[in-house]
Amino acid sequence: MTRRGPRLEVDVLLDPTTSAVTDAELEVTALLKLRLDVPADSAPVPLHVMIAPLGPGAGNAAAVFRSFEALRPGDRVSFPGGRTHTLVAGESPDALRALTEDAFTRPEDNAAAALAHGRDALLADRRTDAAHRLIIVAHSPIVEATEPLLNAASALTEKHFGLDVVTTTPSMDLGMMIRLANLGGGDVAFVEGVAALETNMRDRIGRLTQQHLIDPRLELEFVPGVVPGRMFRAAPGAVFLGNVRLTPTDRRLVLDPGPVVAGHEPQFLVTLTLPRRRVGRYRLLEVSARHRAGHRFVTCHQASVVHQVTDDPTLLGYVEAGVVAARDRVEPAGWVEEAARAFLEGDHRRVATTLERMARRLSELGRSADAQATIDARGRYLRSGHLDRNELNRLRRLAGGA
Amino acid sequence: MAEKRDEPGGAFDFDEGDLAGAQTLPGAIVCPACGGMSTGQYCNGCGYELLPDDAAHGQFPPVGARVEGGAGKAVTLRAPLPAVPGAARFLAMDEDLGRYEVLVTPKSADRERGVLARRTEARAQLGEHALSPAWAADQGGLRYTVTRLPDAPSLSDGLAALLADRHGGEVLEAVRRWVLPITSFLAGFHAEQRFFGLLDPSEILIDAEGLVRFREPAHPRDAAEAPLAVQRRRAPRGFSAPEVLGHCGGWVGPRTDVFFAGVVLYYTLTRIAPLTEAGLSGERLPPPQVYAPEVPPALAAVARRATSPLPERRYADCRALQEALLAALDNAVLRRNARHQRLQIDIGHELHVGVLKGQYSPVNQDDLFLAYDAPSGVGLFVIGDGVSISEYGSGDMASACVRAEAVELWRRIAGQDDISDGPTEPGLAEAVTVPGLPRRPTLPDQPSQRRRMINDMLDTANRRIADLVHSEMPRFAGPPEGIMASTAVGVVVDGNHLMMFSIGDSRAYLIRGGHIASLMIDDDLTTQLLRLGRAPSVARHVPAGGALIRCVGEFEKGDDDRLIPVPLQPGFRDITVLPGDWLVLCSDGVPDYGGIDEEEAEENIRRAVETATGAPWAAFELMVLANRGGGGDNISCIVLHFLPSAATIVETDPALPVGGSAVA
Repeated sequence: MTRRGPRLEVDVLLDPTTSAVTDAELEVTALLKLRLDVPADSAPVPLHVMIAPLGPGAGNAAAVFRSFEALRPGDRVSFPGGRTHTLVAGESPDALRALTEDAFTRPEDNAAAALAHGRDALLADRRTDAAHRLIIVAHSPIVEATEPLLNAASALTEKHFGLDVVTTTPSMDLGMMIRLANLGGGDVAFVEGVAALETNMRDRIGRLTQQHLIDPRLELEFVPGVVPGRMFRAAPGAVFLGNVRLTPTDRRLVLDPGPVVAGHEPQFLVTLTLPRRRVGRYRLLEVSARHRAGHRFVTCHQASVVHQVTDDPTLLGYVEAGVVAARDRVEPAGWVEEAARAFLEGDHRRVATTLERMARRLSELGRSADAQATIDARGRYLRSGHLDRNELNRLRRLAGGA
Repeated sequence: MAEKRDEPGGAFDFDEGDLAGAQTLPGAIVCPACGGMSTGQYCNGCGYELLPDDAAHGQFPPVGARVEGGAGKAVTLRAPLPAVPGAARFLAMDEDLGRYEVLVTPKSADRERGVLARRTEARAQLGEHALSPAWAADQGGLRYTVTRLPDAPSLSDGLAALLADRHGGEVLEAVRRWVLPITSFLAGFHAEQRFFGLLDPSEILIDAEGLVRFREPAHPRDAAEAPLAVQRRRAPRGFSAPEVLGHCGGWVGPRTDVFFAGVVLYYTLTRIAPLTEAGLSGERLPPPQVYAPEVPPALAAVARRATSPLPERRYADCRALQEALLAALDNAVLRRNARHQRLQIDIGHELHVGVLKGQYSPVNQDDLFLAYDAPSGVGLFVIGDGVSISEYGSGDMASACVRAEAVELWRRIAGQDDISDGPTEPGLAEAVTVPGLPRRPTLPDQPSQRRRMINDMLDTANRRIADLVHSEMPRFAGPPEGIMASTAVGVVVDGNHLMMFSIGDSRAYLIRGGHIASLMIDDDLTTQLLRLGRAPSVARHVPAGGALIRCVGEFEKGDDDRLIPVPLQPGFRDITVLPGDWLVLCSDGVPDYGGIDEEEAEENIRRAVETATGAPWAAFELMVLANRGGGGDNISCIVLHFLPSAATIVETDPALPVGGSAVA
């Protein structure tokens, strides 16, 4: 009898599931919900987590160290500079405490360097049986240019090392951090105070230790003619990942969903434009869920996403409520990035109208406090003509449901 | 499925290029959608499904299959119906054309027991409102549960019939036939502290006696559970409240049923196809009068409240909705049957620059005119709102033109002018003169003549604006769109009969019994697009959707650079008022700043008016309301409270016309 291991499956909901025949292009939204199916006797995989402190934050070393309580024997913690510690059952954690304090006393002051060192260290110490994660704990804003940062993050994620950022600095460029982290299905969090940092790190490391799959990934292959548009991560949090650009020859998109843990399965939302269609059922894309097993990737789920085009009006009368709810949740995240982009481009009118639109939508969704906060931000922008980083970060956190 | 295979020696004359792929790909199929060649289940080019998915289609019988139930009972499956996953439903017919619903479940699956058990439980709770299965049969590993359908159309069939008969029929009858039964049914459940939360109009059958029965039994829930997060995947488009679709926290309760009944009322009144985005966008449905200008205002007000996107703004449950609906129906009948009589009118008005607007533009661009002759019951009330971004002239001059023409018209109506001096209004009767008594104002008898009278008033105001421009610029160089303009909303009162008129986006509200109804249609781009059938999400987000498409101040340019006034096309509406009605005319400064959104502003207007001790106080309250909300626009309002003629009212000087800034 074959022993069945943990499986990653993907439920795809479309709205609308059925469209009427029209002369125009069709707009469809797809919600990809990952689902982890774990046998009762399956144990989580070991974890190798690397903590890269950025900027002076020695006072936070103790909080970060306390969050290591969630780690199990066999899990490994690394810091830049080749300092690595593997937990052994029954051993006193003093050595780990010393390493943590040392790392936070002598932090990196350059984010690109932190990413590069993290990559090198993880690569040098890579285990095929463990999940890997780099967590940057940032205490100061990043001042480097975008290009080297993105290159460093890409180099990291190419090797399937996920990246999370936890920052204690309200003026951190969260937009940039989200771009970096999302290359590897990561998460960006802003915390205020030592207690919040400890709670966040404890939850984060606790979740990382619950992983049953190593390097899960989601592969989408779009049928020619189906044009993907905006891509969001709908859970956990709401993050605008960007506009999808496919080449005519390669219609494949690989998403790194980050750690997949039961109860916290990621969801993605993508908008699709379909060409004019005649009556029939059409495959829009092929979805595959894969994960690493030893030195190779195995496919654990594969499905076609099919959309129906009909001329029968009785088949058109239903809404996929889950997709609508997810779209509502993620839309504000897209608007914040649009406002940020408009501000950088000097298009003040677009900043104001985008924020107004966002406030109106939040109000319609019954999120009155968030709507009021957006209106206040818009008012401050109109008075000052400036949308500073703190303001944008506030809006991002608000849009992300934080 | 269209399928083209290689057939040597066939009679058809194939293009060799067409078959090139087939010769190298044995078993390949030409895609009927794109013409490409594929060997798999789906076309590699366009994704078209070339071979049916056996897993999806093969489990259940196709349409046209015959189901035998023994003892001569048999039905033929005619059309598929929506079903829960793992089951199939069909509409079926027997040989005598009797209609049936057939539920097909896999015989051995747990799902069968689950689906059938849930239906049985729901039927038990619905009582007489559920249909019982007539017979069941097992065939080929499937269980067929067959239910005889009564000779009653579904609610969606009824609404479709109303849509097909859009310009016929009687709106009150339609409301009694379709809306009242479903509302009463839901009210009965709400009285028992139960609600549904998710209802599908195509599953609700309503017979001629108003008995509501469910084709697919809906599952009532205990109101003590509300608000409840519904875990339903699919919801009927156009009928589902925003919370069913995950908005507003996704919490459903009795107010969700109110939305359903309200949206049925909305479609009954407007006779439009269900708006696919109702409940989706979280925005209010467009005012019913956009689609059906003569919709009874009380019913429109009930529909607007019941379909609010925010649950807390709707009726608390369907009992409250039913009560309001019955009152609105009575009200509509009373208005229709009311004979012509004179009512006393308590009149109030306010004109204010707006606290915020005044800081950067001290000139008030609103203007108003009001005149009422109590003994004859004749009056004229007009508000003009000047457009503030005029390139030539200014809004205050344009609204003053409207007011000046209203003064002129009233003089003619009241007989204060020497009519022989000027051109007589066509159809305008001379003022009644009784020896020994002052002359009394009179109106033309025919509605068409009255409309003509107002048309002429507005056209003359339009010409007056052109004259003002030409007095400064004999040859007008700029674009005619940049010329000063004004809106105009007003009412000609003749006892209890009112003739409302409007051009632009100023408002007229009728308030009665805790409800407020907007009477006129905005002449802006968004409303025009809605009337042309555009989806509300498209119309509302069109750039410059608030731009006026009609106003006083419409011109074309002649070859000699002279402005040619365009004949104006104001909207008209005749309405009969009842004692106790409040009528509010106002510029858009009141609703725009009277609340955080239009819906709240209208509710605030209603509350301010209904709680006021008199019309002047109500007008004052409206001015304060708009200023409290920011006062970002000029504020003008006229409030009329209609009272029985024997009632004591606050004394007003009846024959004296009152102007906003100055009246001759």
